[in-house]
Amino acid sequence: MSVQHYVFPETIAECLQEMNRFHGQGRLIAGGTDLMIWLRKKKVAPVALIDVTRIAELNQLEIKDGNLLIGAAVTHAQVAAHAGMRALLHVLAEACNSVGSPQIRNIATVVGNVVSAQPAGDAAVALVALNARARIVSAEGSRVEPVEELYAGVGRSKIDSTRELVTLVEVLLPGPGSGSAFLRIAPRNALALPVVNVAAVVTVADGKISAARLAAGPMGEKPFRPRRAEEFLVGTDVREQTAWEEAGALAAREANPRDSLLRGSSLYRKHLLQVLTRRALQSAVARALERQE
Amino acid sequence: MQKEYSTIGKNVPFVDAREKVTGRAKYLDDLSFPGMLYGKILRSPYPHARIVNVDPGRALSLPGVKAVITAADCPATRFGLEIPDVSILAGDKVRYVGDEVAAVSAVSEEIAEEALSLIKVEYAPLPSVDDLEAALAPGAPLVHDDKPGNIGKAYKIERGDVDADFAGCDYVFEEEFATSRVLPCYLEPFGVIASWENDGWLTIWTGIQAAFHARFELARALNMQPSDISVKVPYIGGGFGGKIWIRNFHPIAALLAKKTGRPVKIVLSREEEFLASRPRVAARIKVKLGLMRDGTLVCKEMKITADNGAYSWAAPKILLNMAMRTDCLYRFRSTRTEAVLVYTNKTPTSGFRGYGNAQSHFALESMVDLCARKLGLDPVEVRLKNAVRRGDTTLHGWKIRSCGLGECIEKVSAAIQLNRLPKEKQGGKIRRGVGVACVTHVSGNRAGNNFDGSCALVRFQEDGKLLVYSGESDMGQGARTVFAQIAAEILGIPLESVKVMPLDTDISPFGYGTYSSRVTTVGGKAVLLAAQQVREQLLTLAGKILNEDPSGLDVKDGQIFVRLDPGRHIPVAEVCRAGIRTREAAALTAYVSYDPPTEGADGNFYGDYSSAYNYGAHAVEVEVDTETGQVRVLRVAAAHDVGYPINPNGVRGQIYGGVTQGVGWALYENLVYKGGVLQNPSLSSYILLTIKDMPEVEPFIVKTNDPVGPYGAKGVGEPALIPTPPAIANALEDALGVRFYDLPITPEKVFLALYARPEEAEK
Amino acid sequence: MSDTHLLKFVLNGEEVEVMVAPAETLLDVLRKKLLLTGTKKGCAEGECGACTVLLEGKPVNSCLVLAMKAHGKTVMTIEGLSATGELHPIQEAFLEAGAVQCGFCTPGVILSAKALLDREPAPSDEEIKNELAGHLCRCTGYIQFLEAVKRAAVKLGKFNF
Repeated sequence: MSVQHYVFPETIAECLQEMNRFHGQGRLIAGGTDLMIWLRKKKVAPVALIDVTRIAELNQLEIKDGNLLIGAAVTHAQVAAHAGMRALLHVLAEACNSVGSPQIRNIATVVGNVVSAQPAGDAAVALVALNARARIVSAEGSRVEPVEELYAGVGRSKIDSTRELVTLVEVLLPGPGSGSAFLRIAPRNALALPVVNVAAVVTVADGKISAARLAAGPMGEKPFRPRRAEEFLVGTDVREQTAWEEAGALAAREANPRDSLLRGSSLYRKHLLQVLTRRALQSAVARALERQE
Repeated sequence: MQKEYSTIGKNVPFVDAREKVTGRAKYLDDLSFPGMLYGKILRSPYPHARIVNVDPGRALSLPGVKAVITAADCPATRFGLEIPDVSILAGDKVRYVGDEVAAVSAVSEEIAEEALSLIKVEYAPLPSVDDLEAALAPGAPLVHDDKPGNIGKAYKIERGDVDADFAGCDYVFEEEFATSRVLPCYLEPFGVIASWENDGWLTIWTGIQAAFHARFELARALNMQPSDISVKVPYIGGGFGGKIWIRNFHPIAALLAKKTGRPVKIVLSREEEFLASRPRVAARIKVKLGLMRDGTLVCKEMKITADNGAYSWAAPKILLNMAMRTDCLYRFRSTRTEAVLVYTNKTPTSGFRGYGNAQSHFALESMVDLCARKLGLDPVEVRLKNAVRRGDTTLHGWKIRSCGLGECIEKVSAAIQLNRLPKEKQGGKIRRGVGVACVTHVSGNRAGNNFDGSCALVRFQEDGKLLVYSGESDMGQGARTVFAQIAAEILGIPLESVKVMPLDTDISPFGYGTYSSRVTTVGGKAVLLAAQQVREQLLTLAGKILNEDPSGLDVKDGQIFVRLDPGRHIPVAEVCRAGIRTREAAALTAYVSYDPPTEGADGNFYGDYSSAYNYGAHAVEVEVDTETGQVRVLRVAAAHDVGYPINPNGVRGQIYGGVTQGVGWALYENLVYKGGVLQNPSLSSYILLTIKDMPEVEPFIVKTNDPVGPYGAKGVGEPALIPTPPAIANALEDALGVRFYDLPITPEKVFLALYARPEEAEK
Repeated sequence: MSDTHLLKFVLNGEEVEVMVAPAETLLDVLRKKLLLTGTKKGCAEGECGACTVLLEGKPVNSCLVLAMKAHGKTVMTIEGLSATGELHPIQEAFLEAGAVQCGFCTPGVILSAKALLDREPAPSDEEIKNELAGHLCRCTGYIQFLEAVKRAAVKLGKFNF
């Protein structure tokens, strides 16, 4: 391993200075659980590691002005345990609790799950369904982009961690009448990557679905949005039990997962997507109706 | 009335558990020596290729690198077990992805790793044979040029008149089953430290199950005498059959150490554990079963084709077990088995808990269930009707001196019926079922006239503490504890006064090692006999001191006392002091070489070859999500005839662990190859159960008091795994009406079996 | 890989200073530099849990944590649990429940159990399973872990069945 420096900037400004100092040879590290493996396999070879976890601002996890703010140093365990999460954002809590193991969730960050750009990163799939946005800072300034737009390919993020920093991810808290759910099928009940995962976020008004967002993985280069299913759902009567099945079928038809010796055939995984989509919708809608009452 | 024991049959904590819970127990990788170097091995990326050239040039000039070796540095001898087909480093060609090509030693692991990347190997890839079909096809490429047809070994074993018996049966059924490649996958990566003494002696530290075999095989590989090698065994982090035999890295470390004059440590990475460890022999097994209308099992024929991998190691012996042992589960009139072992360009196979017997149990115990259902009979009744019993001599000449098979079947089939969940939930989307399967296994394994026993050395120290030495390894199963319990019981001293010494071939008495579920039965018996001799010495001396006839003395709780006048007593410690630190010069030591009273198998594999035969039965309840194909094992009732449990908690631990590995084999674990390349060489993609995947397990210990084993004990290590996969397959048929013939039974397989046309499932 | 960075942290209650390389894992520093071999290396890829230590009281895989991450923090390894020589009640419970076979996963499992019991003195079966889900054990089938953790809860005096 060629790393020669390990630094702890204390502010975002210092962090940018450090990135500048190493001219693209310094790489940000938050939890580092993926980065450790990449370093060992020599997939990346930075000169410096710039640890962002001691920047106070990046440790924020709070609800502010109707938004949930998740700083870049916040772990999966912290998000899953956050008091407001169960009530408002089932989908994110359930997704964060699905990742790896307690030991990994205690160190791996939610923002890291976005930046490592795996198409089935559980937290990231939930964030895409929640239409989360990332605040990105670099020497050139700052900007906000939907999480969904940050994928450049399998395991490749548009975020360049040698010069850009995602300071936080923000989620607009769903209003009354909304509900969400996250489901996954994996080879075992812990320590496993998903064969299929599905996140569903719906809003119900006047007995009808007024908004629906779905995300699923691994179905391609990035979290998959079954848009036809989403469109179909809007306006559906919540008593129409066959609608969830229909939405699942639409999602399966739109998806194109590849055959995998380990994860299963494309056909089988499309079927699982259908089943999970239906189940996630049933659960999300039930929660939405509860919140209405 | 049975005698009240002081430690036998008690749930005493394992004697080494204290060292383990504090983190003080030293495993191989926890040891290091001054000047020690780290070895790394360059492995083939090709399943089959000619080695054109190996150029170590630049690796040697990397600072910190102390040696690079290739085939040219190795003795030309081939080694291995029955078929010596292994070279220390590949010379002419590589035969599997992971085959050893070169090795380096350096001052750190990182430098050694970097040096590997500087060795230039030129390969000329050859067509490879990745599975049985390809290997057996006419004109197939040969894995070894001197093994025509890629056949490593073939057996044909026949007892009775099979053809006539089939002709007389009411029903004859035939099906084919297949088992998959699974890995012992112990948690502690296998490794070695090798060091040469100035006088030419080689010392090897390695966490191996069979230290004396290791010494012998290593001597063969290195052209040395076994007694010039010392094998020392630190704590072993699990073995399950995967650490019985040496691997190439053992002689490699020895050669690197010789070349550098420094100790060399090699510990496999987890990826190497997947690429180059020894998986279970996967086999296709065709079973033909002949029955009468009333469910009497008459005759059986099996045809086995087994995937050996690139080198043979223990696979020939495993194939033999696969071919024979299930013939002795039921009272068949005749059996015939043809079995062939086929070379492929995949990782060499070897032993894993069950040693071949597990594979054929999957086939037979699935088949018995399937046939019973076809005849409209209760599979449990069919098993009970045909089960072997005490006093039987089986078709292969096994003399059954104790047998609790029937009791095991009755226990688990009753237990699984209690508190059963409904067969269906959610309008049939969730389906449930139960199934039963049995096992017979061995506690020892004598081949021909070979020794099949164990030796023990037991000696008192002057303060009354006792040292016990055995040649058998404790890989975590509790051998040390069992030996300590036996010695403490015989000698009437507290368990804390007994120390079971680490295994060291220079000091420990000869023993074959931990396999064939033999350690408690033969190793324990040797300790028992040695302790009895020491007890006689102790009481003789005490009699002299107390002026009493030794036959009137007894010893309990560390005190020797006069049986008819218990007020007259003397501490064991005082007698030991008097024996050792005075002119008395008493030995208070015994060395016993014990060989069980079995005759061994003859040239036709006939004969009573195990000290005892073990029996068990598992019953499982499964739940299937028919929408996704996911199978959950809800409960397992597991009964084992262990003769007598020396440590019931230890027996239960073996049952829990065996069940878990059985569930893993049936549903989760599988080494997946594509074009000869392993696709899942990591613990993230090779799926072991976690605590969240465990079924409830209800263990039953069945006592049959074997007449030969110590305190009536028999083995349980291997049998605890074997019946689980067929019990699960049988439960799935009960739940779904579908029979699964191949392992593992993945959710996708279940899904495909439930939907004849999968497209329909999507609608 | 040269040791250019000074790592200061509190290890098992004592201040420790050690020179480390910036990309060195906490696992390697503990085992190779500080000679605390009770923390085991089972896979080095965060999949088995054998290398689990407590960082600021929380279980982490020390193979996935760079040593520098411990700078200024507290770390507990298995050696810290019985520093006085007396077994910790959790260690006693594992021993008594027969939850130890080969022992290679044991140190990590005990530390996760400690983190759980520190947080939740009377855990349910489900909570125990959730907390121990990051540990692979090939010997025991985990069943005796459940008993051990519950037994430890009783020993710690805060829980009755």
